[in-house]
Amino acid sequence: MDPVVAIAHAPGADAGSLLDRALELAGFHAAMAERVAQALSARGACSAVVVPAMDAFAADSPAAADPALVERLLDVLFDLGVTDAVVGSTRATAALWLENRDVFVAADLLGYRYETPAGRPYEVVDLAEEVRGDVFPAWGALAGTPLSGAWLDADLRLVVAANRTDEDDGYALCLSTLLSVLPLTDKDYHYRYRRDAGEVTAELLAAAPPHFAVVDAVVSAHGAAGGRAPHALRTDTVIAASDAALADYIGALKMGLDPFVSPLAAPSLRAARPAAGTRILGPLEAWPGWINVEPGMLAAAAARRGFVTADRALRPALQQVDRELFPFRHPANDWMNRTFAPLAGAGDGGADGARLVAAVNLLLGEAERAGTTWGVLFDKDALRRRETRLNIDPAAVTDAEYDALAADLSIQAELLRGVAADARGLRWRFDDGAVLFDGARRFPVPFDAFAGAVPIHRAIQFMNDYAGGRALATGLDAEGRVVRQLERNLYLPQPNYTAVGGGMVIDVTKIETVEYAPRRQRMFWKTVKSENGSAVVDDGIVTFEALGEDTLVTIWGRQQFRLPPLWAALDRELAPDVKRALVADAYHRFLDRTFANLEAAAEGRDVRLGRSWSDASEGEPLPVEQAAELLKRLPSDGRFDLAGAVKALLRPQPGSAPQPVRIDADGFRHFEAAPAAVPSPLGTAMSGALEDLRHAAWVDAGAQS
Amino acid sequence: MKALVTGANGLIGANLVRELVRGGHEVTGLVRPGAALSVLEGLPLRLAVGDVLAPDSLAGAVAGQEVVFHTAVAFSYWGHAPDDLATTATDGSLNVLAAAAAAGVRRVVMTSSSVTLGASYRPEVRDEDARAEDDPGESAYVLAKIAQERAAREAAERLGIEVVFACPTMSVGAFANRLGPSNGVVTSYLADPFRLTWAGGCNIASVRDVAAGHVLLARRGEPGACYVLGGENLTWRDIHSTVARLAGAPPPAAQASAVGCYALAVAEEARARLTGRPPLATRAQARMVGRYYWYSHARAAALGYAPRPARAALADAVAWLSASSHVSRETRAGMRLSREVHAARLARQTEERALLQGAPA
Repeated sequence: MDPVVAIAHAPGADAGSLLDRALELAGFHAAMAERVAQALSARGACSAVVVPAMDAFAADSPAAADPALVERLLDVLFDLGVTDAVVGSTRATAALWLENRDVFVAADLLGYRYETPAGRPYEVVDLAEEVRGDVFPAWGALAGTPLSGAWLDADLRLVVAANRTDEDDGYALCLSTLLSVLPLTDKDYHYRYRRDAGEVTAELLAAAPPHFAVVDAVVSAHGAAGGRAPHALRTDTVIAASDAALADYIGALKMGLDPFVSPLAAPSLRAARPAAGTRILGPLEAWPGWINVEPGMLAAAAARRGFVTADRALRPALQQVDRELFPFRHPANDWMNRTFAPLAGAGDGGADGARLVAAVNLLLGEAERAGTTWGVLFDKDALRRRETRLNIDPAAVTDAEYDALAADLSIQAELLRGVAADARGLRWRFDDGAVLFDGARRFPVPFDAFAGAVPIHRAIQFMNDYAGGRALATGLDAEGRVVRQLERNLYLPQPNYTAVGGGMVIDVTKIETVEYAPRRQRMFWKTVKSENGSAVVDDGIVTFEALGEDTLVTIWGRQQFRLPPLWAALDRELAPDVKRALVADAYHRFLDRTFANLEAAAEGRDVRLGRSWSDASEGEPLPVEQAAELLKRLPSDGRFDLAGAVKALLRPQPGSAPQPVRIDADGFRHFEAAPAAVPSPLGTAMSGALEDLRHAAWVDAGAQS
Repeated sequence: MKALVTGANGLIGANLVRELVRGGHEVTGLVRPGAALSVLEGLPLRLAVGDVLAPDSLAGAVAGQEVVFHTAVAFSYWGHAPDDLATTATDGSLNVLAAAAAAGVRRVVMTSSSVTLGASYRPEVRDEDARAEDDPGESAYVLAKIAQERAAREAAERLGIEVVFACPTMSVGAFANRLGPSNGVVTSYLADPFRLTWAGGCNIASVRDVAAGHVLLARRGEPGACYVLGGENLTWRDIHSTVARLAGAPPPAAQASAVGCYALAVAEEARARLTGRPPLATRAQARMVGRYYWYSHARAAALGYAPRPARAALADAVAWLSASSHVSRETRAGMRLSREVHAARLARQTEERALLQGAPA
């Protein structure tokens, strides 16, 4: 079937007839009937799973697909011969901070009746249950993530989106709804912060795509605040498409948006861009009176998303919620929501509130940038590790490319012959803007022990400032050792100080080969791609070889990284000595720390920098829970009474006027007797500290005399 | 001999267990319920679960033993309330002595501390005849150890049991479930971005020698006597410089004043309270700046105690710590271990393998 998308629009028409019209235009019946017939013929049964948008926080919210329309679609499926049709979803992030977000309860509260208009019963299923592994490729962003067996096995998979604007992506349609197929609860944490939402969606779409997609745009949710404070607008339309990405593409056009504004949808849209043979049926004019999230606000929301803790703390505070249906689980969130959500959703179409939120978002984004820069420079283990996918097709790399690697790089390594090593053993020179360098270190560890503890095919992952990536072995030798590999590496900005001027994470994808000999192992790598353009070249060779009872490790490299504009604006050629000093310093540091990492890896240490992400379905504890835990811990410590300290600070100071407890008929003012002086905990602590300081000063005086 | 080691999973306890096993003795280790036991993994010993503060839990462990080594006490300047330290030290010791007496154990070797002998503001060496004053300004740990020794001495006389007091100095080395103040001397210097040293000094001993010293005292120690189990007396600058050389880290860059150390300790404690991670130094430790914790182990040496040089003790400690989580990844990335450290690690690994295989080293 050629890709097709149909837009059924009829002012005043009921939802059911709009759906029927859209499905008819899109050739739904013919396409699905064929699939149903195949299933019935093969198994005598045909199953369907419909995944509707359920990201609503009030009954009848336009941010969710209309349950009546979904039930109508179920009837259509039953009419086609489907024997078992269910509505499927999973718990999402809001389930962590709201009650009643369990799939079954939420479905009930949003209006699902478990019976179609034609009286056919259907089930609501939680797609986080009965999941299966090995669904996604090992080199992908979703490697290791399980997926619902019901979704995978369904003969018909359908997604029904609401038609709404979105603060994160500009719009949220079928692809956004599709994320509710994924099993982990904190979807923001796992599929937006931790992984790239676009990569996640594209992989999900590739692994188990819906067979048909519907956008319920009968009553839409528009407005500058997106789903956070949805505003209903009657648009009298249903869109049906043979492809979820195509439905989103057209849906975004109808909003008057560049469809690629959505980071979640963009990678999938590139693959589904309308091409020859695609049929687009129906009007493409933008909805009259439609209000989008402004581009600046999208950018501000993206900035805040980078600050994971702040983003997780703010979302519950800003979301408009019917708290009768969905009470807050934590009183602090309830209080914050009562205080801030009305402000954040205020104004025409939520515009005033959205601007206020955007300003806060930008501030938080800047704070995050400053924090990240601090982390790169001074506290690398406070940074979060990077998770990503391999961004080249393993099948596209030829044997010839692997085979040529060692010879290509070995001849380049020769170019350092004759270059004198400096006092710290570094040799280097410039070559076409790149730096050729090498350095060696002898470790007093027997070769077999060293090579056994440090697998050479992982050598790049032990290098200084390696922040994450993904490797895929593409060839093994007879002993099961990796001899060919593809690898994507992310490193902190190089040199680290460029982080101050907006230095990028170095993102390089490499092809690699490994050679093994009894007393020598070598790994070669060559850059084939830099996703963000941060590297021109990052090729290298690492050698482990036996040297007597020791192991000698040599690292050779050819590197050229792009500097951020601020640093690039400084013409370093005007100060060649400074440039040489900076280069030498950078490579001394790189080699020293890389060799230290290799030594530590040989000890069995984990040398990866940064904090790992939680694998728990709920992610990390919510910030409000962490804050409550911290407050609980402080006063219980026994040595620091926070409440007492606060009370001591608030206690009337000596000399402040006492307040009368009574004024009698004669005008005399009566006071309570002053309490006996009891040393406060703060006073005792201060007096102890002063005594300690006096003693310390005495020690210092003695040491100097 | 048949021996019970209380606190068998502590720094001294774990090394003492190894020393006893190596000597062919029959060892029972007393550990608290739920205690981390990774440092005892694979060793041929009987584990008894109990608590020195729960007298009823001790009888089974003590029964049939010839010697009890009582090492179980919290050595800490952070994370323990002063009353808890005192209770564990005093009540715990009294409970162990009572259980030992009831079981007919003739001898208890009790791990005290050289800090009970006091310290000096001058570089002078103290021996077992010196005493620390009951200065309320002393840290809770020091006061607890003084009280422990006093109470144990009285109880031993009353119960008619031989008690020998082992007074280890700053004992560094391998097999620590948690990072105590002794090994903390090494890690805090390596983690200090300012590379500070300070006035005063300390006696550094290998915890392996301290363990061997305990066994020696069980055999030859005079009842009621204290024995310093020390190593070498060094200034803090020498200690830090040695650690730096062994770990391939920069040498001390400056000597911090006592006032500066106190201010840093206050800041570190504040950071620790906020982050939940232990401080690099505490105010209790800062109050020790300028003092010389220097001791003579001549009395133990007369029995045959022969500790290794401090440098060898520190090399073994660096070898253990550099591979542990007690040294952060970032700190480790700035280190380059000396050949001595690698050799110490290899030697320990070889010994450990032999021990686990049940063969004499």
